[in-house]
Amino acid sequence: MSTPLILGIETSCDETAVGIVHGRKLLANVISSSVEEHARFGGVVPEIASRAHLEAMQPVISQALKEAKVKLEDIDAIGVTAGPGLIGALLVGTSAASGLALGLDKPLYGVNHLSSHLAVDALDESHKLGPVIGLLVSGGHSSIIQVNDLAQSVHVLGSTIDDAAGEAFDKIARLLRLDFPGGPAIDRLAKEGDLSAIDFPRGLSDTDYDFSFSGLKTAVARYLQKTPDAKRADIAASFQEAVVDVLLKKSLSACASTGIDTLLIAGGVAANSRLRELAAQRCEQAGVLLRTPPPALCTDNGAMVAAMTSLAVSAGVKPSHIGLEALSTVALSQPVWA
Amino acid sequence: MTTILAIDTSTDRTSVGIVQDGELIIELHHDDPLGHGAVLPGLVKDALARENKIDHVAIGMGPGPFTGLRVGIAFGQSFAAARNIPWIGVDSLAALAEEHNDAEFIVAIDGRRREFFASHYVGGKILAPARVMQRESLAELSIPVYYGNPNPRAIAELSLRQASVLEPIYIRKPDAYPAPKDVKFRPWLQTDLVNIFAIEKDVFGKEAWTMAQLKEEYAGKERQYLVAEINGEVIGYAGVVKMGEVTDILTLTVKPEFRRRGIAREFLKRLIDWSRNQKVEAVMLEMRKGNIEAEPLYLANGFRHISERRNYYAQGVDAIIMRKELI
Amino acid sequence: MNINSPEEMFELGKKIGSKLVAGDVILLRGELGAGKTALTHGIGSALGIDDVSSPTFVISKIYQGGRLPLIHVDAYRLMGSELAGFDDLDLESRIPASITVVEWGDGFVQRVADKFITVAISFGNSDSERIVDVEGIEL
Repeated sequence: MSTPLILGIETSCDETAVGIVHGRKLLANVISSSVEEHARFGGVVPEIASRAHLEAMQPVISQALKEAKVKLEDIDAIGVTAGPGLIGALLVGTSAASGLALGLDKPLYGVNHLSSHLAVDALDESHKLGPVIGLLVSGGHSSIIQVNDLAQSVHVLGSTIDDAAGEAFDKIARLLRLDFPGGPAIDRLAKEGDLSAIDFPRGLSDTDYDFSFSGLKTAVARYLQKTPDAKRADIAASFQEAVVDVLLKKSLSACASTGIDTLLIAGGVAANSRLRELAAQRCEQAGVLLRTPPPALCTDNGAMVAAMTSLAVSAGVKPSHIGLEALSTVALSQPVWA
Repeated sequence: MTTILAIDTSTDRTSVGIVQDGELIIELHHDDPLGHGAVLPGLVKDALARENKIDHVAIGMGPGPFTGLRVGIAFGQSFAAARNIPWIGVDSLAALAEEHNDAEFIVAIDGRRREFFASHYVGGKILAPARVMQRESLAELSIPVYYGNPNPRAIAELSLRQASVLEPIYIRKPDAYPAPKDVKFRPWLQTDLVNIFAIEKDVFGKEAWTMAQLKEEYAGKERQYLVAEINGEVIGYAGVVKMGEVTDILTLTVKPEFRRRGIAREFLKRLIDWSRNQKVEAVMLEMRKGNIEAEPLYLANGFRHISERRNYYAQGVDAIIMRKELI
Repeated sequence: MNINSPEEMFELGKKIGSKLVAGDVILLRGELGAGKTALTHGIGSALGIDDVSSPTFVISKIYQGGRLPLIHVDAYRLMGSELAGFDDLDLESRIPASITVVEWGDGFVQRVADKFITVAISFGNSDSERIVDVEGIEL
């Protein structure tokens, strides 16, 4: 089947999301965001997230079907994020997906949340599918991935050994007394600041592709302690620059040594304006083709899950067992569950 | 002929059954408090192999531990949507009660941490809405208490007899830390100052507030001071003052022989509530570094270390500044 | 004891990890940047789990594949919110067969464990120095 009709479900963390794709064409992308509720508590709060997922699941599925103008009977396969993520939240998605698959007697694909972030690139039908270096940066993950075939062969070159980039943004935002989510708040504030004002340390320059943002986080905290009157916009801009610099340096280094001249930046932090700006500059200088999904597809969504599933189906990957297990942590080298 | 697929995941057991015209034609279950997610679909698949034509889905809506409960509900609702058939929600405790006909009894589902969700039945009718009960309390009762797992047959039966329970049944567990009994909390009066001064000297020695300082506080504005009283005797006091965008807890003291009774916690709760009403950003406090008695209380209530002040209290006695965000 | 580098913190974590048994719960205290995740990284390593990273974003991460499952919780964002948020992690079912580490866990750990190990990390005199107090386990 080369243009399967796929319904994809995503509930690994904060969003209850459903996407419908036809081959590589996006038909619907519905997100029931709990962000407003969470802003009151400064982060993803499991009880609220889990309860909200259950309440939102059926309405979001219905809405997606309506937008795509398809019926459940038309769906060829169901895809669902089976990990990594918050176990309670994941279970709502996998249970709903299993119910649909069994009820429709259609195949079920449990897919990797991280692979799905990369798969969203396939929804731009003008992009040729082929090997890419993926820089995956979100609240929970920071990794450099060599993608030969997204559905079957991905190799993690490096990842964070402590905080993910998005987490670092959230923690620094907290120190600066900014709103949740921290990434967009710092992005906004940084625009008013001088990115070269403070030279914060770039993490882990001695290993090739691993990241470490813990030292940077501590450096910013110490700086704030010692200079409490420093301009917050400068701190935001300089911190952001330190993160973006090292993310791009290592990614482009991976491009150079693997000979893969396409860089795909995905995940929530890929929506960061400075990252996109600097990436465009440096990729042009390096002769690397840059791909960045539209910001709405960078944060967690169902379309990426549907896209990943669609690629798996087209590649002839076997569906998952109906009793697939949601996993809180899982290696990226497992894009589709057995 | 009515064929009902019955699902319940409100207990450690994942339970599936198909009931056809009142008869349980297949029943499958698996006991594992963490297993519902991976196990339920397989059990349903096996059940459907016996009978695939389903008229509606009956789903146990709890009460029960969150993670398991959601598996059954998410699955059941989706299966129903896929088959274009109705789903009907059922009270899991009521399903448990179906199996008993004593004149009076209690049914209970494990809610973890020695707490149970329990319903009281008299003459076959439920006495009051289900609530949380401690295991110890249940053990003391002289009426029969039945634990167990809802039977799919009962789940199916109730789906025919009663209106659908449309929302998962969440019973909010009561605050694990109720206010201490026999302690009266009230705003301070001029006449309390003398007693407070005596406690200050006792507890803080040389660093105690002076009477003059206490009087100044008493006359001050934008602050709240409370005392705790047992049998008319002041045994603790606490005070908070509004300073711009934050409030600052200036003191929270309980006489040593009255500690570990939840009095400090109750003070803290009230001072935080007062602070919320002032619409400030945060509550601050300074604490002696190494005050291991007080620190867990503050940390458990959302206070975080912000910074340190060396020799704040005296030479060699540092202060930790703590802050709790309110917004 | 005194710790002077992230590597030493990791080694201390490994040492602690090697002594842990199923059902052990560790309350990890320390401010932002104290090294809680580094210590947990060491604990994970002793269990055969090499990819421990910060759970702040999702609040809880469960690692299988080691000598024992490792549950790593960051309760930072639960503080100030209702305890129901912590209940939903449904940890009690998992704790008896796992190693559980809770950062910022005061008030929560006490609800799920009658006894637990406490590791408190505070800053020393220099930037890289930490002082670590361990209670409830023999090292």
